[in-house]
Amino acid sequence: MDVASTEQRLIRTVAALAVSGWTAIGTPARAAEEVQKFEVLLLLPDQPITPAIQDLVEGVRSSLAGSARAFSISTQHLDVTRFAEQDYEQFADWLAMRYVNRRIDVVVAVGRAASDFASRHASGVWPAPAAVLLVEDFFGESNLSTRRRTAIVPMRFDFLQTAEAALSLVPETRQIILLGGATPNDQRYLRQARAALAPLGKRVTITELSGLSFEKILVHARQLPADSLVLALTFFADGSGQTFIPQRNAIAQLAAVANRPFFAIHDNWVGSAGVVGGRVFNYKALGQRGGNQVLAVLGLREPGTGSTDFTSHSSWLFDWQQLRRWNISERSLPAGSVVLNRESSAWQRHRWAMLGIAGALSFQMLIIGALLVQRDARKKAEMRVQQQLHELAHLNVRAAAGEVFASVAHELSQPLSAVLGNTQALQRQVSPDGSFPPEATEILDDIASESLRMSAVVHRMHRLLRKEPFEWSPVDVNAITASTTDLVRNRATLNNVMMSVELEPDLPPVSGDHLELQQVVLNLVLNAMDAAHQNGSGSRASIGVTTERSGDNIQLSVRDSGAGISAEVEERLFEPFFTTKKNGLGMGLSISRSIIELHGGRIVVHNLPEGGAEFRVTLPAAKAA
Amino acid sequence: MATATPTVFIVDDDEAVVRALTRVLRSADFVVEPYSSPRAFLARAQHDGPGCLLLDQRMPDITGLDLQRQLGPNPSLPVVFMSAYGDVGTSVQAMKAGAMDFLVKPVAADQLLDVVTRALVRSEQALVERQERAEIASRLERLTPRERQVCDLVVAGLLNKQIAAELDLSEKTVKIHRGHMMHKLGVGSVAELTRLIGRHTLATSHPDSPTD
Repeated sequence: MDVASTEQRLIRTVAALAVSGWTAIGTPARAAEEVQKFEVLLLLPDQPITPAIQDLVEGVRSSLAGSARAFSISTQHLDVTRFAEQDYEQFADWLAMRYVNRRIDVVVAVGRAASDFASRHASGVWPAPAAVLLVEDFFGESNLSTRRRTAIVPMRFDFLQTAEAALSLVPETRQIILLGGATPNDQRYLRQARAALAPLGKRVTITELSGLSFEKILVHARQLPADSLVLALTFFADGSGQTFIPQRNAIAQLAAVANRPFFAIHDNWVGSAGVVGGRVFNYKALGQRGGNQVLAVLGLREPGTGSTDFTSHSSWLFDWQQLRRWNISERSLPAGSVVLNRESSAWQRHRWAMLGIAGALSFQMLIIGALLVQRDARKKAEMRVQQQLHELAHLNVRAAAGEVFASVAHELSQPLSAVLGNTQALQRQVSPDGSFPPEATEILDDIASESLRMSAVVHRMHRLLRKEPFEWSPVDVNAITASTTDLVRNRATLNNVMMSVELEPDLPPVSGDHLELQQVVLNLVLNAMDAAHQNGSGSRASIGVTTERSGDNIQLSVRDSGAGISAEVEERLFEPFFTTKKNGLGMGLSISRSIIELHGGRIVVHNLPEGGAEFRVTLPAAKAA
Repeated sequence: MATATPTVFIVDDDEAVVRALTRVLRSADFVVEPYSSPRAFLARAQHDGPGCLLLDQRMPDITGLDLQRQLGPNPSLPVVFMSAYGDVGTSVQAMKAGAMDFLVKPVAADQLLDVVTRALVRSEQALVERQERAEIASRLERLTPRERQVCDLVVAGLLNKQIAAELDLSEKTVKIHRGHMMHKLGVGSVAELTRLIGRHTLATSHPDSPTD
């Protein structure tokens, strides 16, 4: 006890000193006590542009505003929807540098990912701050470090209560469909919901609608089983990687065309996303509790229940329009329910009909379109597929581009350093009368050649990212292989992978699309690089890329020093969405194979006797003109 | 010791970058020794005078971090890292391993000159401190074991009587040892002695450890 209070006093004194030292520069006349402002950092899972996060931040703000002290609130976000966990290590380093001269009194971490991050990295990032963790599904878990002054506000979604209420409101239900997105975050909520709904297993079947592209889910939503209802959880991104911010836009579109009612667990979805309602989570209330815990850990307020606030943030909320749409009597709602949207305008009355008609029309057009394609010659259909594939490949290039970025940044920063250095050296040496130093010619030569070097890098990058129509032309396999390996050479150095490239000279060209084929090479090389380290023997990771002529074919081989491919993985390797990587899309090899087959070639994989795997691409050489 | 000229060492595998940085530094009259290979720099005889090392982080055969590790801690040769945007993580590691600062490429001339000036000042300070430390150490070496014991106990704040009891000597003998010790160390008061020993132990324990 004594130690703790001494420590607290010490921290406060130090903080006061730091503040007074800082404010002394700006406002020397004011006493430190008067101007002391607490710095609160909100560590958010996603950009503060979603309604839920905005409500939450607003809640924290309103709670802190009720205190007599001044607070300054800043936010940082992890962007969990788009980035995988391993990227956070670098993020921690980045934060450490950003906050090196900035004092933070309290970190409020929102959600599981941010809380994990805060408890793992906070001590390295913000020396001795207090922390308030808002964590979902906290119960029974304690791998979160509860350091010196930490308060935990558990977030709990009432999956079971919402489902039970939904079953009593729609009594004919025999099937609950859990609707969710495809990101790891979405999957986590799906698992949580499944576990929570286990007690209902005897009464209804529980299925999942997730992992597919939004368009496919849209099709499913129109033809849900007649005895089903949907419990919409989260929808950060669909199976094709398309993100939805705010998520309720996706839900609103689905609920609008759905033939069965949607229930939900987020308050901001009710009344705006076409869901009937449920026992919903109130983000503003959560923010307020978080804010109250901030005051408590700073000693400005009595803590609610020890250092953990277990109060629920949920309430019953329903949408009157939706109750009417699905013929649900208001009288059967749970006690204490709040019903929104009672007034109805003409648009609101007819909105669903209008949207329904629009939806039906577009669906019909899709069918007509499909029939047209079928009626058309086979060649035309092939061209369409080709076009889609091209778009997909472009998407995939964009994903790979992120990987290549670090490498390119380094490649550009070198010549840029040379240009800037030379220019500034020259500026410093120009005499007052405007005459140049004797060295000026050499300096200018360096500037010119370094500028050309940069333009080559940009050009290479541009070629990779440019989206051009699919075009058949003679492609030099050696040239695309060389430019691809150049592109990733820095990455190889950085990852400590030895890369050897052997190109058989004077290969005949193949006929195909330059960009698509380069994409295949890039996929294979990046995969090999990732695999190269997993050899367990500790020997130097290496990859080898070779091209050679074999009869009328060109062969490209990409080998790695990794662990090889197990039989079960090999079977599914080329399937879409199959991935062994933590943050992989699982599209690279599937796209690669489609591209190669479109070019009349083959791609095969086998394990090498000396360990590791080899991907071998065979493409027919173009007929000599 | 011969006072060598303050020298800025540049190690970057990219010759164009090395030339540009050299030109900037020379335009401000710094003495520069450029290297476009880490091995060439390692092969060079050790530099005794003040200096600093501008080190590129990412090089093909030895990374900047490895080179920094191979050099070992040397406060008289502060290391300034240069890295590309996106290599921030490694920069943090470098700072943890004792680098003085790091610059993100492309580096503006003002910033470069500023960092290099500070690094050279620090290097000179480190050399002065090292000399002082050597000086104190050589004075301490002249003490007999007995005088050294007395010295430690005086610094610990014991009175002659207590020291006598501690070492099982007469108070008079303690006084004599104490006189010799103070004379050899060239100090006139206990305060001066404490300061001297303090500086010695402080400097020998952890020269550059950051406060956590």
